[in-house]
Amino acid sequence: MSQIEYFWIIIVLLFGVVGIVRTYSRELGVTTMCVAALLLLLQFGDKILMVLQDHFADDFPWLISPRFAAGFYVVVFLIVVFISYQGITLVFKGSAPKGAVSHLLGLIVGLLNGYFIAGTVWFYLHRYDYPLGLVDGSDLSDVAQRIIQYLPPRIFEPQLGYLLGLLLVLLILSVWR
Amino acid sequence: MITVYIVILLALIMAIFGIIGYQRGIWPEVVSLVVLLASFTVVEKSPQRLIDYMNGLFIGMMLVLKSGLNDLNAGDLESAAHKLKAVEPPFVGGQKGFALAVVMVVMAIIGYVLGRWIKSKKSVFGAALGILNGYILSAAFLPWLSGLSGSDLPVPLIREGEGLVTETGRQAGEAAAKLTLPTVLEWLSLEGGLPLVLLIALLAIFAVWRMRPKKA
Repeated sequence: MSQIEYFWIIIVLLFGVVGIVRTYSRELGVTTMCVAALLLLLQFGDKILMVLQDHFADDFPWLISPRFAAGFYVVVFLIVVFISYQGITLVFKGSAPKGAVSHLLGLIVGLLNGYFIAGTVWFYLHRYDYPLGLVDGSDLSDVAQRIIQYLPPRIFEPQLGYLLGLLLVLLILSVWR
Repeated sequence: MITVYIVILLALIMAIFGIIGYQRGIWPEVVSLVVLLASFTVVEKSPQRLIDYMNGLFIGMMLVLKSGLNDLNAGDLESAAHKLKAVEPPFVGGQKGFALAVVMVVMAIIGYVLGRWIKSKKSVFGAALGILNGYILSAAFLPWLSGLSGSDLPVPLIREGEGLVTETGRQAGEAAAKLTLPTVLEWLSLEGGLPLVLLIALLAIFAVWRMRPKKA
């Protein structure tokens, strides 16, 4: 039995710890970028894939493989995450005051980022039946299958307008202080 | 059967290494990863040779401590040989794993000391590499410490395996699956995630409201 749900929970918890260390003013910037990346992938991901496959699949047949599709979503999302953590960081103006409440907020926002990042990666790997071969999709536990129902793309896909609204709120908040 | 405590211990080690990795940044962690992977490969592929070296090192040190070198200098080979025979190799039987664990821990320390020479800023990807380092180190010594099979903690290309399966975890998972869906999760995912979006927005507003303006 694959224990992907344990792995996922551990990764989310680790992002929570990272949230405490980095403070929530930095973590909210990552949340904003995660929301933007998720919105773009949900809105345009399939269209971009289709364009690539329509135009280049004759010359590059591997473009129509599930491995490429999963890799496309995961890599694009992780590149955005990498940039938001390591490169051009969107840091909210103002500084978080010291204290337990700030640590708690850092933990919550860090967990939220972990949920967005690990959840999105898991969702797209699951959607394409784990083409990297590390997990057997038919052997997932009931818990894993239930968690998949609550991963970010699954929740937000039906109504992207809400995600767009959240992105606008976060962008306004980023320059508030 | 693997107890859930082993899983918690593994997660704890990986988390600690993840935090260290975050503080140290990417490049020091890359150095540590290379050193750990190289030593893990040696430990995995040629364990007996390594154990022989460790036993030889120990016997040599004991010979020096028992003034065996003085005997050799004095030409008293018989006395030196007698002292050499009296030293029991420490890493035999069940203690062989200890030798390999010592090698891995020493190499981990060397890798981390080497990494200190490289300046790097805090990084989440350093944390990811740190987690990986924690896993490799755990894969080296947890099987010896806990009686796990090596295949429970596989390392691609170096050690094949089936992955960690916990009987307790499986039972807990099945029990959790039988429970009804938590109402709060159902509520959060209603209407295309509107409650979740509102919750995140409120959290962000509260967090930013608590911030102090940056001094110019």
